[in-house]
Amino acid sequence: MWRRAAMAVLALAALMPRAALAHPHEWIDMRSAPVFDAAGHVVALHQEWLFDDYYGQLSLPDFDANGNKVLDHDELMTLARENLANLKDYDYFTEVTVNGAKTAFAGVGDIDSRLEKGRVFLSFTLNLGKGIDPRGSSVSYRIFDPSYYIAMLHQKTEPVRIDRAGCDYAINRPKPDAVWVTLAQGLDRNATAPDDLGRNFAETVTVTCR
Amino acid sequence: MMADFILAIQDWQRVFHDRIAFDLRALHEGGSWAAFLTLAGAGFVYGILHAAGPGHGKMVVGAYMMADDRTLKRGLTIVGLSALMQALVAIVLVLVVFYGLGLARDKAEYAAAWLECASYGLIGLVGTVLVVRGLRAFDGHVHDEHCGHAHGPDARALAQVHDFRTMAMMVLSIGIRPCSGALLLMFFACLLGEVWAGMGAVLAMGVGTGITTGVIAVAAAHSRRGILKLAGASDRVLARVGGVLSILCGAAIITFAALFIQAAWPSAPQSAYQHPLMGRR
Repeated sequence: MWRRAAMAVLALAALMPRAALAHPHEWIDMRSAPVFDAAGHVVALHQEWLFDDYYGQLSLPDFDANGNKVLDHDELMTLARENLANLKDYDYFTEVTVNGAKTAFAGVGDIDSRLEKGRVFLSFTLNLGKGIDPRGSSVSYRIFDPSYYIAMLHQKTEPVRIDRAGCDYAINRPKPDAVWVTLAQGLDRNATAPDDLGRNFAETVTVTCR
Repeated sequence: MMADFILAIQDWQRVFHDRIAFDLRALHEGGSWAAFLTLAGAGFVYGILHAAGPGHGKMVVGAYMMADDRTLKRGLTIVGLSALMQALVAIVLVLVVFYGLGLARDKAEYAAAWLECASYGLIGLVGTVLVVRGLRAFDGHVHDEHCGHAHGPDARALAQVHDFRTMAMMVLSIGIRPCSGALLLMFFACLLGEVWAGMGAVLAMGVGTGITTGVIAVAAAHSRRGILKLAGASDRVLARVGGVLSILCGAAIITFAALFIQAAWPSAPQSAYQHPLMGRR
């Protein structure tokens, strides 16, 4: 009985750790597609980000220029351009590696944004510094918010599109080390995340071509 | 294993976020009672599930029921009142921040973090009261209420005032800390201008929280009874064992309150780190 009592107190205590203000705070559902040139080299990464419901509502006060309580196309485009300009310093939350080495980027194009059932949708093409021949080399990429303020995961349906014959992809779900997970749980909303917290929660997409 | 568990909780959190966003939007666009009931239902279920998770005064209520030889009714009153207060605090906090300070979820959560600290401080006080009571069991004052002939009605009244104070302190300590889910729901409701629906759903959430915490209170009361029955027959022994339990539980509560105050101490809302996707916010 005493043991059970002790267990009860311990269990109650163990339930206390605060998940209350834990990261992440927002979510993005993604789709991505490597862009191939005529020679079959990967030259860019097309990305589609569908923000959660809160993002659009929270952006409304700052970006609803005409005050009609809806983000119109031009307002969404302003938001998109500002976001992508800010994201430049963060490598667009993207990491492309060839045989383990990081690839440099050459800016973004094809920026578009609209509302999908009230949620902000953003799409853009991230150009690679130089094309990658996917045959014979291991090409993979990760898209994540390093601070893990936002959780970014691929959508369940058609997560990755591959427009090249003989190529396939695999998504490796994150297997975060328990320490990192616990850290994220304990992070205060306002606390500064340690560098690269989000990496531990990132999916890795690997592209293989024959 | 632990990682999977926490990731699963995060998935649930996501499901809840999506659920209330979806329901609130449906309500906003349709405005039907059915939409409100769906939202309130989601809040209720969240309250039940979330209260089984971290916080929500389970530890305080559980330890109180274990430590204190009071009626279950009293424990359940504390549970009910604190769940109600928790819901009201969430509602008022978001309303004040939203309409008083101008839209800012950061500010609401910063204020909530301070309330959380205050909550732990009050919980620490409850722990102190339990320890003091436990110590009293050793100099024979524990059964004040049962030996009325010695102390007269004044002592009984005094004990009642004491009880009322402890109960009020517990309700305050648990209820002052709003739950993050309630804040989020209320906040999104305010964003969409569905303030009344938000209030209703937060109160439904409070009912759910109260049910779970109530179950835990009942369980704790029963395990206490079991312990005491096992401990022996005589009133003297019973009082002593009760006293020890009270001291142990009180000390545990004080320790955890101190630890959590330290962990919960809020950092300033202006973070050096500006998120690239929250540029103007």
